[in-house]
Amino acid sequence: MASVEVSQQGRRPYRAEQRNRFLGLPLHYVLIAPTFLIVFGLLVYPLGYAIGLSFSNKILTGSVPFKWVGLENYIDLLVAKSEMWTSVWVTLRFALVGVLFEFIIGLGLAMVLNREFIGRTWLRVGLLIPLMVPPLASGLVWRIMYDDEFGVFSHLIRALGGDPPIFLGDPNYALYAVVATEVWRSSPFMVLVLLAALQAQPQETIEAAEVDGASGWQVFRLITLPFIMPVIIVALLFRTVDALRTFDLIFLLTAGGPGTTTEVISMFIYRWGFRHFKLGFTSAASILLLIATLLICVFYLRMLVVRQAAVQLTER
Amino acid sequence: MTRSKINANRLSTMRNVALLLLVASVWIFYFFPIYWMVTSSLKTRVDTFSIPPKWIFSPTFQHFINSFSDPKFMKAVQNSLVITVTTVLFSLLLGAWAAYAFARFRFKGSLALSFSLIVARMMPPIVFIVPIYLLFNSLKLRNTHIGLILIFTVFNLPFTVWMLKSFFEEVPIELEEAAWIDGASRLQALTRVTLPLIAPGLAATAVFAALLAWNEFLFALLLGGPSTTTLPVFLSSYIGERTIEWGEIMATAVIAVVPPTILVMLVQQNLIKGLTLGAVKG
Repeated sequence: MASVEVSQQGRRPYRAEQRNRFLGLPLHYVLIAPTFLIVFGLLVYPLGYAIGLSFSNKILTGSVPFKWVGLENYIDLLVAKSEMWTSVWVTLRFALVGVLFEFIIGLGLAMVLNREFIGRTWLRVGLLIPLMVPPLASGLVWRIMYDDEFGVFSHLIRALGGDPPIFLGDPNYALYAVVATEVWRSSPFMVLVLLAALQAQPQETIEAAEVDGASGWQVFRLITLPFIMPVIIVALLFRTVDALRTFDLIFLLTAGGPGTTTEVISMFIYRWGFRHFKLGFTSAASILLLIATLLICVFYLRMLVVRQAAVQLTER
Repeated sequence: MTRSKINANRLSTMRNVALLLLVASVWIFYFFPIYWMVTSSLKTRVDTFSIPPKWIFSPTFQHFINSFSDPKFMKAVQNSLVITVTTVLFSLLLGAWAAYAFARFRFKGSLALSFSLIVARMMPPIVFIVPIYLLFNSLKLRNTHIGLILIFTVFNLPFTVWMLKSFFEEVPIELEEAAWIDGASRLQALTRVTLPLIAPGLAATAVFAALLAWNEFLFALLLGGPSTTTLPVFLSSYIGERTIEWGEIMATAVIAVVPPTILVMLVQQNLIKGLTLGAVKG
């Protein structure tokens, strides 16, 4: 229907207002309507529902009569039961350590790849590998490599005369074993994105600085870094929010164990919602996670805005 | 040759060797798990469980034959394909209109609305799982293909819209205006002028949407059921079984890796854009 109507209008003499209307409605609203209807129906409405649930004691199995409990769930989460804070701490360590290593590897390799050398194409292709592997498949292969009896890591450590730990079963190592997998899987993102930023940098500015006698470090700190900073912020934002939502990798490698040493916030929500069926309590935790994610987004976007403002000021 | 020149030469040789070592170690780091995955899928049961691990062995394709003759696995592949393809079609068909609107119109709330999609992209999906679970329960959408397609589409749309928006913005509006003056309608200008120009972008967007749908796990696990088991859910079902059949697991994993590999190879040019919602150009 839509196409017929628009093309009929087109045959009339050119008139901008007519071109921009559809059945008398502003065309842009008609165009975005399908997307926002479905997003509203399946994201915004459920969110409102979750906020409602978070003030109730709703249990999936219905074993306890439904009751409004006010802020009780939030108080349980934030004050009474310390379990969520354990999980928050695990999540923060997972996200911060992971993103830090990804950033170091990312910037380092991007700087290397930004030069011409033999094997450069091969290096770039090698980086694409983890991006192709579905998270579930990469989780499985790492799980096998981490196996304490037949795993290749245990074997290598034994071959070197060491005593291999039970990587995924040892509370001291499990989280870092998971982080290593995450770094393997996600550092290529950092490399490729930062490399794209480096390659967009105009060569003239660097050459001009070198002619003026700037050292390599000065060129990097005063010219390259400010230039790629917005991209760094965007990349860090993406990686941080992705780390916060990690579920499949943890589910597969440790399922939050041993104990709760690798229980990131997504696993925490999953456990309370779909193992203990406490939907009211889980909804409250979800809302808190939502608020935390929003705050992190605001933090990064503010950095971006402040950055741009600073650049504009210096350009004047 | 002067002494300094010799030194410089030696330095550059050393640099080349260092770079070569770096390339090799990076390759080993990123490639080794894949190597392990493929070789494990080709080892016999005895070879898999040998200590120390066998580096040289006679390959067997038995695990692949077993996988392909497992009706549950074939059903999972079929489910994944059907759900992925439909999700991609839905997201593109719905998202393209919105992307065009955001790229070509400045209207009241356009900035806020387009940014609200970014916010939706940033939200952890687990936040929505409880209410959507209850909603799907009452709408009888659990354990249905259409339910999963709907929810995958919702989580794909913010990405699709932003990605396509960035491609639409690359085509100057003057091209479309010229077509209008020649008597073309807005739709004709769009389909005859703009769409052919952004065809690679459309393809890249489709590929990334397909990757997201192919790899999706959380909703497939919790909203799906026996009749909608996707490949990731099927893979996860191996965990928890007492006797883990590594060869078979790795064979299925290898099969699950093939489609994304082909897809990533196809969109190398637009990789960076796809990874950052069009925020960074590659």
